[in-house]
Amino acid sequence: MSKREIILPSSFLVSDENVQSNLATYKIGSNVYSSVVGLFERSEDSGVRVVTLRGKYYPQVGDEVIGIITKDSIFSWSVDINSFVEAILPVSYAIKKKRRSFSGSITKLLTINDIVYAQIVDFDRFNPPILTLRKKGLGKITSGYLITITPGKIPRVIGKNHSMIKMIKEKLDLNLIVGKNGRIVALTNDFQKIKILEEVIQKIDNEAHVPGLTDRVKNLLESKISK
Amino acid sequence: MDNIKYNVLIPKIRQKFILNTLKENKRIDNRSFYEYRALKIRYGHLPNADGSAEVSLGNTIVLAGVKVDITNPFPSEPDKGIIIVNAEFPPVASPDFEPGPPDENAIELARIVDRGLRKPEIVDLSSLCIVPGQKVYRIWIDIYALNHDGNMIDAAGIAAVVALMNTKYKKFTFVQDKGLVDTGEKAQLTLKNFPVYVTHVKIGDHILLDPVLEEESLADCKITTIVSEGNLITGIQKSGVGGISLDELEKIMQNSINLYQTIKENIQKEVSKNG
Amino acid sequence: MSEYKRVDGRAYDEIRPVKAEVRVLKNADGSAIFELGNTKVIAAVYGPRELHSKHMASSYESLVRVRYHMVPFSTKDRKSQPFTRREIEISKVLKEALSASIRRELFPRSTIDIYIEVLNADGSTRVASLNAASLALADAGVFMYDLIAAVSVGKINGQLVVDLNEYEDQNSDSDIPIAFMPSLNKVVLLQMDGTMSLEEIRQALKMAKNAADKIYQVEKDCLKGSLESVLKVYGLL
Repeated sequence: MSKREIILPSSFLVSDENVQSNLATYKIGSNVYSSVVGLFERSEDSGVRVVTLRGKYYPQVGDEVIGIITKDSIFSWSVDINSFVEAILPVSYAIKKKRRSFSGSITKLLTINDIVYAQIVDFDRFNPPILTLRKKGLGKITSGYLITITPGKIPRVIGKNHSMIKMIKEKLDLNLIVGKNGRIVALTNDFQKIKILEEVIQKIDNEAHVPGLTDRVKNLLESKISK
Repeated sequence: MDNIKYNVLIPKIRQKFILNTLKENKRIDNRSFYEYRALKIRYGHLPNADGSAEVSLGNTIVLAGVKVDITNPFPSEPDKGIIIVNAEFPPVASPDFEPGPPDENAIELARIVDRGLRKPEIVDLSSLCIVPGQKVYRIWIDIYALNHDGNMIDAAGIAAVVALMNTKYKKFTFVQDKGLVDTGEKAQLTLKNFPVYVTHVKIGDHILLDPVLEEESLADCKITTIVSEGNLITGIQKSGVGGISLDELEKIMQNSINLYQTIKENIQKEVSKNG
Repeated sequence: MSEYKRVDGRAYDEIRPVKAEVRVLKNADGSAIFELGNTKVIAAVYGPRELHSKHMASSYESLVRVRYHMVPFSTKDRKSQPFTRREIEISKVLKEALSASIRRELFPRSTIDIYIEVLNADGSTRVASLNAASLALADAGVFMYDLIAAVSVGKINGQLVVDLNEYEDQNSDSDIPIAFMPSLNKVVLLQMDGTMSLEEIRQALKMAKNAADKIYQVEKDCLKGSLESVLKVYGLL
């Protein structure tokens, strides 16, 4: 089992030439320090891992995210992705490949407050995150229920080999879209199911780093559904 | 909260050049690390001001003007005159300055200069009282940047002190039934102290005195030490984003004290030269 | 040394009771209350977030904006001026100190807005503000190098004292607000007002460092505590 401890900015983690500094850590010489409030996990197989427990989503190319359209301009939309920068969805990335061009007002495609499930295809310090909808499974989400949790805990919602998310879907008999940026959309309008799901997600958010989470979530689900 | 950028853009190769020069213990203008730029002072040249001084430190030029008027004292200090320091960085002084009310940089500079004049009092504020609780002299010191090439604080400090040194103001007396009466005489302000503002910057591991604008822009942080008679430190301000160690601070404070006498004599020499 | 006895009976090197709490404002991304005796300050962090004024945005680092403000009823006499020169200067030096602690290069094109309200002023408000703001930043999950621990030290009747209250602030010969990133051994804020010899400043800074270390510990305990309350329940700690 891995060891976990609470760390704070400037907490010393390890001394190791080979560990690269990243977002959550920085290096002075070969010493690695934390730059966040979080959990430090040291295990034999995974080495050094810092789990951030606070903060916004940090965009990574390849991530699938759930965004909210905030603005439209001539050739693109601005999209809130729960991060420190707004993402851009160019019109050309929002239309199907077959349609070479699009004429008319782009608001016919997407307007402010629409929700999209999109993938980040480009991001660096000079360009905002660029989104695309041109991939299977991506696109506008037209109905459902939006839930938000700390982005650092999304991996726990998914679980090892999708075990957690699979179980939730099966037990509640609904479909879920999970964005890496801490947003989850339940594709249902069943009030009862939504309330149970909210409780489950809340539990994961609170207890994300306590061992045996899957079992506890299973118990919670079963007790709620049987009622 | 919005602010103008005061750091000039310096091309990367120029930055490299400056840093490499420092590594060889030299500065871009050939000065040594603890050397001031040439000081030039003109004063009393603005007849409408009660006191004035224009100070050049290399290419940095700062103007200070003094006006004296009469006002009500602060309730907390009914028998003391008032000194107010204002500073403006008008667009005339730099392509990066914009018109408008003083921003945080100008306000900071004014407050640092003010700090050096207040404790110990440079002017005997009690002598500026006409009628306790009712009428006192108020000394306005307005500082204007004319050309910004770094280290405006030290130049502003000298300008303020020299402008005060040559301040003559209309003398009023209080006459029963008549109120305040102009005596027709002018009184000379006498200074009780001689504060000197000494600014160092830290660039990497180097400590430099009297930075030019490019050095100031590259600096991690800037430390102004105010030294007064008796080698006393009468104010400190760190500005700029970078951190600094206690050892480096010690070095800067010690150096500022060491320099006090030389700078003071240099100012006095300039003053005696140019009336 | 003279016989100065502190008005509140503290030892010369004793700080007032410190209280710190994070997550106090729901709307903010991070928030904290910091108290030094009767000096009470609240800080809110919004961001890092999109900077809509594009000409101020940098591709290399986030902007940091700080507004230090005293509420009108925070002082003995009602403070009627909306935003004083003192507040503007303090906002600037606090901004610089806080910027030094943030890994700003990780948040290009964004802004981190830090709003500080002094709710009750009993001396040392700017250092209390810095402590509150630093905790709020950590609470917001902003990537940073270290927490900032700030304290004031001053001379009154020839005696050096730490953590000046309002009375001592008004009656001191000199005072020094100073802030450290203790683990990195860096001073990020330093001001001095008054008159001191170099030797006195040396001693004052030493006293300040010791006091700041105590404040640093309180800050760390506060942040850990904010997690423990959740984690303890499940037997992790």
